[in-house]
Amino acid sequence: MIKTRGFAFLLLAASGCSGGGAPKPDALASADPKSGGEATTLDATSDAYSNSIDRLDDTQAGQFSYGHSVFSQNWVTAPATTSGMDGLGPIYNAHACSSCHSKDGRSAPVDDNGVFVGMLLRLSIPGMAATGGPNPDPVYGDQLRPYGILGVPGDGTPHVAYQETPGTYGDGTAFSLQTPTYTIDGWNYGLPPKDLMISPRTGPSVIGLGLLEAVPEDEILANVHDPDANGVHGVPNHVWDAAQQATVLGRFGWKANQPTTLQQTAGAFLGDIGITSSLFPNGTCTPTMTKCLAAPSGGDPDFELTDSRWQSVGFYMKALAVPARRDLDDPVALQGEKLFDSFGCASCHIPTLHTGPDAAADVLTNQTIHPYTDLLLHDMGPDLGDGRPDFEATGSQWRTTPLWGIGLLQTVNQHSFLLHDGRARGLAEAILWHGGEAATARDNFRLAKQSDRDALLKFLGSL
Amino acid sequence: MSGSAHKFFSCLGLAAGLAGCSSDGGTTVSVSRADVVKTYSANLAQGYADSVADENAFKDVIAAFLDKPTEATLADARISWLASRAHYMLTEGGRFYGGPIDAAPNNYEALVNSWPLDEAYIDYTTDANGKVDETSGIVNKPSLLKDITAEGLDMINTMGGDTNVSDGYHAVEFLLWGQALSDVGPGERPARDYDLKGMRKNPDRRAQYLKVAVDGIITNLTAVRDAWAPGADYRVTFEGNPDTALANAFTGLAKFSKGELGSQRLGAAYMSKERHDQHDCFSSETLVDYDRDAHGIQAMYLGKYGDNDGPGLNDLVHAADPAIDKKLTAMIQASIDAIDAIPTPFEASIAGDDNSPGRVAIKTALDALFAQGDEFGAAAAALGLMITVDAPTP
Repeated sequence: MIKTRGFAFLLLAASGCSGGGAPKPDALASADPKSGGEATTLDATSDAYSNSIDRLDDTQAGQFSYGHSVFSQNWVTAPATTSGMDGLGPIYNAHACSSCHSKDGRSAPVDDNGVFVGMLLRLSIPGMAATGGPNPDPVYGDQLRPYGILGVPGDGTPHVAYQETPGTYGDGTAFSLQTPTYTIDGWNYGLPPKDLMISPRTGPSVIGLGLLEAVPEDEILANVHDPDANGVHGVPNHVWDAAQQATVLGRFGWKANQPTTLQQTAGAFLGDIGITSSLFPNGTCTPTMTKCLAAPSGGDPDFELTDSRWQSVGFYMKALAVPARRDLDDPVALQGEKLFDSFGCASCHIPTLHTGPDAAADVLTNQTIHPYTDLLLHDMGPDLGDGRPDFEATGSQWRTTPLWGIGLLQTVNQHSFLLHDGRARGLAEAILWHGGEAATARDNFRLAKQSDRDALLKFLGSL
Repeated sequence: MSGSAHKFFSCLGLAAGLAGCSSDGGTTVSVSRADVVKTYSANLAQGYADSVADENAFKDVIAAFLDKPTEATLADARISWLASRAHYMLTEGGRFYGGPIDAAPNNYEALVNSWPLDEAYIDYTTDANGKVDETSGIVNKPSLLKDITAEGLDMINTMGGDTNVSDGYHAVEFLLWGQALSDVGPGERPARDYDLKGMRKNPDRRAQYLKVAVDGIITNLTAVRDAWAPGADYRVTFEGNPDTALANAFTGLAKFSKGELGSQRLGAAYMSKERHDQHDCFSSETLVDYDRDAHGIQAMYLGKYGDNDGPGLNDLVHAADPAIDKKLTAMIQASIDAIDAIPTPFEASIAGDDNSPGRVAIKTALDALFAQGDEFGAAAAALGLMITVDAPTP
């Protein structure tokens, strides 16, 4: 640690006294430190994303321990002496969950040399799969896997180039946004079709997933409405649930294209690491990838990720607590919270949701939580669009990203890259990239005086 | 353990600053929080100083081995490796509160004691069919690190994955023992892996790797030692804020007991039954570490280290709530006893069904450490320190 990195069960006081549990009568409804309700941790150190929720029973504590271990460890080429963790690839993006979710947090897109470290490129061609999802490329499937085990070529090499575009705030202060352009070269299995669609995605933080999973569908769908005065109207995605073999509400992923934490997990094991599971027992080598097909499997005997590991990793993520909101006595941050609402940010980044009675653990049930998301899709405009449909999400729709814990990104992950492809260097750029339904809110920020902009950022930094 | 919600955000600072009194050998001793904190920091500082000294002594043994790599000098190096960690393990309860050992951005802990590690990130590996891949790892792949330096190894540590561990004690352990290829027992890397006339590629890079990995441990531990030195900024600030310091001390002991030693070092292996999920999987000396870890926890609680014996956390807890102190003191001893009762080697004990003596012993130890972690939380609460503890009780 892996472990060296200090995950822990205990929720410890790292900050000073933050006032009583109940908001003051004149406080905003969301002026509440307990972002995750009872599933909140006070840890604001570099381990802030790695704390368990409270009151795990014996079985759950075991799953959490094991899940953390599996989440952190590299998978290796089969057949290995580490027989439980072999079966990497044969083609893959990463060796471990933690490769792209370091310390349970968010990854930077590329390293100093431009090598993709925490970002992958989803691929598809026009049309729709039988599930209603993206139509995979017949050779390269639905994502680019740059790496292969010894003797097996990866798909190809992704590149990103950034071009600076200057802009100004309302007060004349200059800023610059970097626009990414994605290319792929070194195709090892032939050139793809010209109409190949690409969508870049970084690995998001994995905190609070058990809470989001416990928000009843009715509560999410209650926020679906006709466009308001600013044109804001969230819509749900409906996606394929492989376990139920049915189309259901989507709530996870950059486009709300996954229904459950467990399916997201099994999907990432298969797509990103090349690890088969009982949910997705078939590998990702396609018929022309002869060396890939000939490589040994780590399956024992049928698939590589045992159900015990899968369930443990899934539970682990569902049981990761949410960091408490800080700076509740800071008038600037509180002013920023009001601006968050008045600018219109809160129209989509809804401060408060509630969990229902069904959840993976007791403390996740019936909680008032502050994820700052509606879990719905919104049109974010052409500048952020990827042009690649994903179930019912269009090429310019994205799911509202939860903002809880975002103020600790630098502390935990040592970077501040935001948005689906990490193009934004910090919170201000992320806001300035917002378009489409969020254009009015963005301009309210852009045109505000500096002290108001700073207050908004201070508020976000307190989450 | 009490539920946390009602006191989660309440501020229980009433006892702050009040002296504790302990009954020690018949005489009542008044103990201040500041004095307890001073004992804690002095002992931890000494632990890191001793760890640096251990590694410097180890460096000489490694130099002798690399000068003349024979099975005899390798055996010496292995014995010395185990000795080199004797004091460091005692300090591990001082983690998990953002102190010098693990504060961002340096996070020295990750540089000196990361585990488990992906062997293929460091050197050649042998697969389950006995086939050797000599293309893998930093030793064989200059594209991963062209010139092997201590700074370079630090730079690429955990790059691209938490188990892409390039440096620290366990990288050195792997370089000395090699992969453990049998079900039970240590790895059997031959000394001739370091011989230019040996059968493996890149012995010179391997030797350079071993040398600078030890240098890196010395450099990184020295930085931690110096941050805790008397008069150093961190130490002065730490001692100047006794309540924060005490909250940190309890945080470290609680998280290390439960989240690390209980959950990751025992619990994960108990669940997976994988021999690689143990601290010292190459040398098969895991239980030596765990015993040292547990004794380190005890010493920190009691304010003891070697011949040092000052006012301890226990004295404050005793003054605030004698029952908690009595319970916690007994639990700490019980966890040591439980670890010492696990049959060696660890990898044999994790195997089998849940009724096997090894697994029963491991389960007893990890349950003890979980309970102990919670009790450290209760002890902190008794001192009015704002703390929340989850209670995984059925």
